[in-house]
Amino acid sequence: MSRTINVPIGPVHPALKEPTKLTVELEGERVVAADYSVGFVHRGVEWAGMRQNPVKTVYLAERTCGICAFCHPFCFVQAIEEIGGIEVPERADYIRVITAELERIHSHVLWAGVAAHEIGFDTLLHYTWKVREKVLDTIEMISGNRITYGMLQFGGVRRDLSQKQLDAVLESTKYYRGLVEKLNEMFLGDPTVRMRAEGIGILSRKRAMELMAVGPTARASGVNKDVRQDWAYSAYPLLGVRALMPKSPRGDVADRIAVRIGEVAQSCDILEQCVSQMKKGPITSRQSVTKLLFEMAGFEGEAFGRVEAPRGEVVHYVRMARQEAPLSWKIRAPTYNNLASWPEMLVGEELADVPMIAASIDPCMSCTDRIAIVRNGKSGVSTGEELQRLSVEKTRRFRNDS
Amino acid sequence: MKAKALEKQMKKALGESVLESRIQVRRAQGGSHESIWARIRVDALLPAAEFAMSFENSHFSVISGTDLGEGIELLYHFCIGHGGEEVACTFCIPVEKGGSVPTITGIVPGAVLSEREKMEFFGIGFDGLRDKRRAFLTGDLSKCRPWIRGDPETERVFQGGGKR
Repeated sequence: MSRTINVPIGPVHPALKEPTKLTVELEGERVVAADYSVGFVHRGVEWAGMRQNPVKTVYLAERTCGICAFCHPFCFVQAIEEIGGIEVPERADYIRVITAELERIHSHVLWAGVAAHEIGFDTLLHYTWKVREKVLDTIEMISGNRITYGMLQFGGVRRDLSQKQLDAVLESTKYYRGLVEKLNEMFLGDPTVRMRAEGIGILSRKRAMELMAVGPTARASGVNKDVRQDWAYSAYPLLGVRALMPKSPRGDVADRIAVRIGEVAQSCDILEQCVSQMKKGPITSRQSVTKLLFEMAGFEGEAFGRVEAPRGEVVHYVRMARQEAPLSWKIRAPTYNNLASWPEMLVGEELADVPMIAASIDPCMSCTDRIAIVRNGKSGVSTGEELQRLSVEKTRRFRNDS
Repeated sequence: MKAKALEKQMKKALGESVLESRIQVRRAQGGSHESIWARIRVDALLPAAEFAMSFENSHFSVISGTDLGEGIELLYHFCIGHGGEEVACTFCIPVEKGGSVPTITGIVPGAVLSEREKMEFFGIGFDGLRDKRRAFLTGDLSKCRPWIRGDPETERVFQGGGKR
């Protein structure tokens, strides 16, 4: 008679950086069942958003996720624009796409580092996070911030991009294009990484469809879905994006790595297209926020915003009913769907592979809110004011140097 | 697939259960998208889900909901088709406060978390749903129904009217 034991992993565990709980049932070293729990960092974002005007909610939507800090407000803004028939100038849509694609590079490279760490290859973690700095610097140069960009407003964007900033975007694409082959070699050419990724954590196309997997997790299983292709929003219809999938998808961890690295190169293509295609012009159709607030208080209707975030489809349902705040706002992040794939990927695998498989869907639960700085052997926790001062100084340095 | 043709097929499949439907268009640069919004009777929910999932590459996004005061409206968001011709199709059903609707997890296994979330946030039931555990709210908020407007327990906890 076989005996099984349950191993709880999380909600706080070194293998999973964000608070979520995985419980795996083991027979020896082999996983025979798996379950997950969420909700450890539920903050009531939608509840708060249904009690304030949409202009304030753009700020709130941006803080839904520290990595997808552009995709969430992008989705929310599109839903409100559809309800109110707010048009967006072409240049503003190109700037939205540029910011979204820079965010994708940032997210995928960040994830590559996490994946390397889960394998136990920390040299690769440090390398990928070092090269990630380039895109964060570019984002900071155009928006003033590394992760919450404050670029969006209803009817357009809040900041135009100068030629100098567009040049910096192109320099960034050149940098990452040169790195893609190296990342491919380091991740998929390295025998150690391949042993930990090939044939591990398989999600078949059929199950990916049934479980409503999205983004790179679904595409690595051969699901031909990408909102930029299927529901091309903003300036994407002018860019001809196609869903990136492996030639012969196995749906394993290696395929998820390959899709994300491929999407870094794809984002470089999109960014270059945007810079070459965009023309000078207005960046918003609404100059006054006060007028906009009056206008929005008269909106009535509902819409379903969709954006392809780095982790997959983000959805925002918004309903307005001639009042200041939305009557209804529902956010659905990609991890919400992709979590259902965990038990499917984990059963039959070994305990040692659980962290890597769990990380392979690029789960996103919350963000940290403090930072500890260690310098010359001394450590300390910076206050919010101190961090803001350092941030402003750094942005000024970028702008003066470039 | 065009929304008009899909709407026609949907009406044929669901018959008089479709109370109202409309096509909404969203503009994008160099293109536009169409979405179908259909208000249907509760007894048509499962046939509607079966209809939406009968197309190749159909995708279920999420269930959302709105407290309309006299009751709740649940919205089931599907996306049908792919390759630049996707049509978003939303089925809206009325539910009484504290009432229940059949689970769609037999047709869409990935809808489990969406239904568990609505159970918690609206206090409605899903008949036939096997996993009825709370998903997002902690135990001390188990009586809160945060998406019900003016829910007394939620107001008490979050508006400073009571101590947790």
